Amino acid sequence: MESQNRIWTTFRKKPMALVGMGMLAVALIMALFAPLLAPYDPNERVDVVPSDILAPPGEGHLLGRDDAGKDVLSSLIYGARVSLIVGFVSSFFSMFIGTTVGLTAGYYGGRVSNALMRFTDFLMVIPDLPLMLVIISVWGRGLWKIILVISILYWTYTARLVRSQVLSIKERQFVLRARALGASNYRIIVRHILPQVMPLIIAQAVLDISSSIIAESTLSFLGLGDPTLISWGMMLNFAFERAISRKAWWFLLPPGIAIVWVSLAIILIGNALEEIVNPRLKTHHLFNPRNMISLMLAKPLLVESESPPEVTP
Amino acid sequence: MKHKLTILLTLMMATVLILSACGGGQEAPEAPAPAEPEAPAEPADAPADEPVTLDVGTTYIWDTANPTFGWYGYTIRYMIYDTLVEEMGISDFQPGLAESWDVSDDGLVWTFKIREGVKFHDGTVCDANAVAWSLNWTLEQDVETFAFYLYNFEEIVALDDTTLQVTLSSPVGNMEYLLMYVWIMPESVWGEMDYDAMMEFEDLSAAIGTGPYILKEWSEGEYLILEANKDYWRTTPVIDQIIYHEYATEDAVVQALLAGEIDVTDTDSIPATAIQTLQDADNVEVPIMGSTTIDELIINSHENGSQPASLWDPAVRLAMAYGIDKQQIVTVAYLGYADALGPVVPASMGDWHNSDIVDIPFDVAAGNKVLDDAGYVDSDGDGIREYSDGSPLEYRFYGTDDSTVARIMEIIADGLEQVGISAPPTLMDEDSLIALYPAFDFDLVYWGWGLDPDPDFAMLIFTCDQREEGGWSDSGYCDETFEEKYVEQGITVDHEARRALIWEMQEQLFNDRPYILLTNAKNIQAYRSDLFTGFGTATGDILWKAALLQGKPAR
Repeated sequence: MESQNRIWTTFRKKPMALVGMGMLAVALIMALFAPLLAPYDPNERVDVVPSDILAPPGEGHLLGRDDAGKDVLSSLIYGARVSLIVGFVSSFFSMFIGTTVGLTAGYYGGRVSNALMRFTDFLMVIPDLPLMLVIISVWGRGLWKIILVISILYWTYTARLVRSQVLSIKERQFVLRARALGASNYRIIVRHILPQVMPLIIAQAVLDISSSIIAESTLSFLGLGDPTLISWGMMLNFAFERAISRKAWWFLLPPGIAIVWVSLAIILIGNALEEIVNPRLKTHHLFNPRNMISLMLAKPLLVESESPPEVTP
Repeated sequence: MKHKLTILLTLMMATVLILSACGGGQEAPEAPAPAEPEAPAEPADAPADEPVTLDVGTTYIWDTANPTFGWYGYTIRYMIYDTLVEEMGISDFQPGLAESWDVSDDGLVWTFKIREGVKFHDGTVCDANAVAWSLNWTLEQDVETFAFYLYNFEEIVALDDTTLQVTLSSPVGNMEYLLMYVWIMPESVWGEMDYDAMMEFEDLSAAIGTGPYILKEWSEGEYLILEANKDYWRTTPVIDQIIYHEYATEDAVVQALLAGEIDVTDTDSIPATAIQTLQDADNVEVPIMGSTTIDELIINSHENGSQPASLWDPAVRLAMAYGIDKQQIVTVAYLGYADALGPVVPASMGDWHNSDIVDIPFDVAAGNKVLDDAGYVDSDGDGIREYSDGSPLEYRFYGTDDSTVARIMEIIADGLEQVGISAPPTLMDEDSLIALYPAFDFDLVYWGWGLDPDPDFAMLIFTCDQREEGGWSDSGYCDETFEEKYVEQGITVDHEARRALIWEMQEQLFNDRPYILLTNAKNIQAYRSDLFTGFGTATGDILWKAALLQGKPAR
């Protein structure tokens, strides 16, 4: 409880973190109150005439109309739902998988660790996007399938992070004492080690949200999303394929900006959290490559050099 | 040191990423523009007169130079090869390698007078003997892309160098059509090959014909160069060289035309949403032509298919027809450049189109009434009606992954939902969709294709035999009465009698609904009117041989 208070106190003092919170709040409100905020229901059919298709912004339609003659602003507001659901749910799942693997590998060490970490390395070196494309084309499309794909590919960094922390924590006095008192492995892991690594995991999970949102947008943009769901990536897909030659910027720009908006908000929050819970980062406060990397979905590239040392003295 | 390197690397990657993200909108589509084909346009020893080059933009050139298994690039193949009779437009033709023809009173023996002095691109003579060899070879090898047109040719012999005699097993009413797509190919290339060698032959010499253009070069996925055949028997082509450029997307083709990289666009290569932009551009002409392309909702009608029993009920099919807003599809997908379609033969096919058929209008109330009367009720209140066995009217609805297709399927699904039928769209790539066909493992499919200039093919695909492996059937439809009429129309020589049969068949299909026809889209192409002029539009494709040969430089 005390440490949580400390985190919040420090967090409040970081202006960028508060900006991030504000930006995220806007997106959350959009998603939660979409039916109230949106001027039209984008799932409702509308009768259109050819001049309605990609009609530029004007009265009644602040951001114009899309390639099906529907209101862009309403789709943008509803689109926040899918993006945020995918972001939060898949980062939760990948946090869960990553933590389990990291704890197990770090605590038990030896062959278990070797097997688990080689598998992690294996997943890390395969470029995410092509692998996701292959999996989606085999499984088929759908919201839950996208969430699943992102979850099972984005846990690797968390696993490495957790393992390296566990390696150091399990050698500390209080763990040795608990073991001497006869505590089971399960109890030691859950009661003594997990709380120590939890803040780090949460900071990482927050950063993962933005990677997941971008991954969902990427897949939808490439036409692999669920066409019946309105998401920002899907809007970009339609805009790219049907609106560019019409120079309909009002359909292309808003979803793009929305994706940047939410990702930026989450990265600002995540960075602040990370700085608080991982004091080691303070020594590098001028430049932290990992933050840039999470922007780029290219995490595996620099992970080797940037992951925390295996054993902290 | 190592740290600096990391920072530098990260910065570089970020820059690249940002640049590519910013430029993605406009630069990416232009990227695939092939630079290579420009080179041959200016040969080192250029004559005083610059050769006239026509640059064509397309999204797909073709699959192979070998026409015995190549299903794409018919426009190009039509310029390379000749046929005995040539397609001029919809149900319109002119003599090709055959100058004239005659039929015996019993309709079984056809005599063709073959043009004199015609040579293949490799210099070998193309007289009646060569034509007879080519047709016989087509049948012997059972060439999958066009041997089926000669289904009732019994004997093909050359009586002398200019006379060809064909004996049929039964009379036909559409001989001109049957010969329109049967390429005349040289013995010098194909004579020694067995079937397997033929199906593996990928050399450019597979594209040796007698047509107005000679295939010079082809780089898969990039470009294709055709050079004028100065010895072409009909005329000397004015355009010396035609270069096809392949682009990744339709938008890229539009941008290439606006940027002056290409002079003309291929069929099916510009999106409806770009028409306004092109019409507003200077020096760009956008002919809007009739086409035989049809879009349809296929309802699985194969008795061994995996569709639910309720899909067989005529009431369900009728209610679906009431639930589909075709006008909305015309507006959203084609921006008005299409017509709603009732019978399978569109109005662009002239008198083959059954104009007596009154299409089912978009009428949700009528659709609901049909299902109410047939006893389908929504007993659990989820908005979806249930069949007598308690199963909901829920169908698998597939289409190919394309954003325009997605919009069309969305409109169909929305409409069906209003009459209490659930059919959420599933998009998949074309190969996955085709893979479902051998087992007829689907309920509804959105699909589109183009009719031949004669209605025969459009009827053929609804016959029982076509459901076999490799057949054309996509609905699984099979009906005895229809079968008899199909055979009869094939041997009916009198046009009026054949037309009546074709009309009856359209009506039967309209009532049984293996297809719910949706739209007949226009063919829209664009060309640089300051550089070229004169292309014919009657063929529905300004690059079709007959239309292209009329084209000439504007200056």
